Amino acid sequence: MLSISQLVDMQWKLGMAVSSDTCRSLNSPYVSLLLKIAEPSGQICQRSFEMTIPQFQNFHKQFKEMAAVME
Amino acid sequence: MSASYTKDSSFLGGRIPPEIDSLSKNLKDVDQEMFRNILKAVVSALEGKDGREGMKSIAESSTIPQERLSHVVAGIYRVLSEAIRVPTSSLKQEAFREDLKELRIPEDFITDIASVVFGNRRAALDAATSRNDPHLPTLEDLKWRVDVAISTSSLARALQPSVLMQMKLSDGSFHRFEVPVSKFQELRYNVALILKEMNDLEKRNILKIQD
Repeated sequence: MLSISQLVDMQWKLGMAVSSDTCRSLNSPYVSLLLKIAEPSGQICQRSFEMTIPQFQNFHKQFKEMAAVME
Repeated sequence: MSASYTKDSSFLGGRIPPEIDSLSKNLKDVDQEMFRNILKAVVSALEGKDGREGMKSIAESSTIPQERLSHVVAGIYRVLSEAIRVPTSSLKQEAFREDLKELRIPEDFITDIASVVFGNRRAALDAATSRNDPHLPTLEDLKWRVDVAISTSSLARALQPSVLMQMKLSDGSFHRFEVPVSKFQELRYNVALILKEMNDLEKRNILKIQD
């Protein structure tokens, strides 16, 4: 039986990158997501990733489109 | 066949490896130019370089049968790798030449070998062999970022600073993780402690062993 992993939880964070080893004054906002995914075996794995604000806005647009199609 | 045991002070230690024991016999009909070419190829290999092209041209112009050539290369490789294992402060050139004479290596070849072991290329050889020490992956690069969480799915006003770190290791793997402020202080303290330990270690006698 072919089966695919399922998203079981999602957490988010809105943060500000203040400074880094290459840039003293970054001041760059970001959104990071933590997804918990249940694999077919039952094991839960975590995936996290970051987006800049424009990337997040695009991300949001995709979900709005998905929601519109599902209605 | 005499027993293959040497005097205690030989750079080879207890037993003579078979490829070194038979080297003098296998070197018959090898002229100095060929010997020097083989020596060059062996040094190149010890430095970690790809010596296949060099070996191919030596094999093609070889005056001795291929099988004997491979024994010669093995013998020279073993002599050199055993010699450079001994630190230069412990191995004296006269004693080393005596050891090679006892192995019945021709005098001219001894001079060529000694020039590699005691010459100015030795430092590069030592650097290359120390790179081959078995070790865990090393830290190649460390990047960091200081973040402030403004709001999360669990806390509307988080306002927590944290440090994001990315380590690149010598085996190509990346490790990305967050360090909360309290752990960062612990990390800072331990880094300072390690620095102090390393400083103290440099003064200790164990690092000054000479035989």
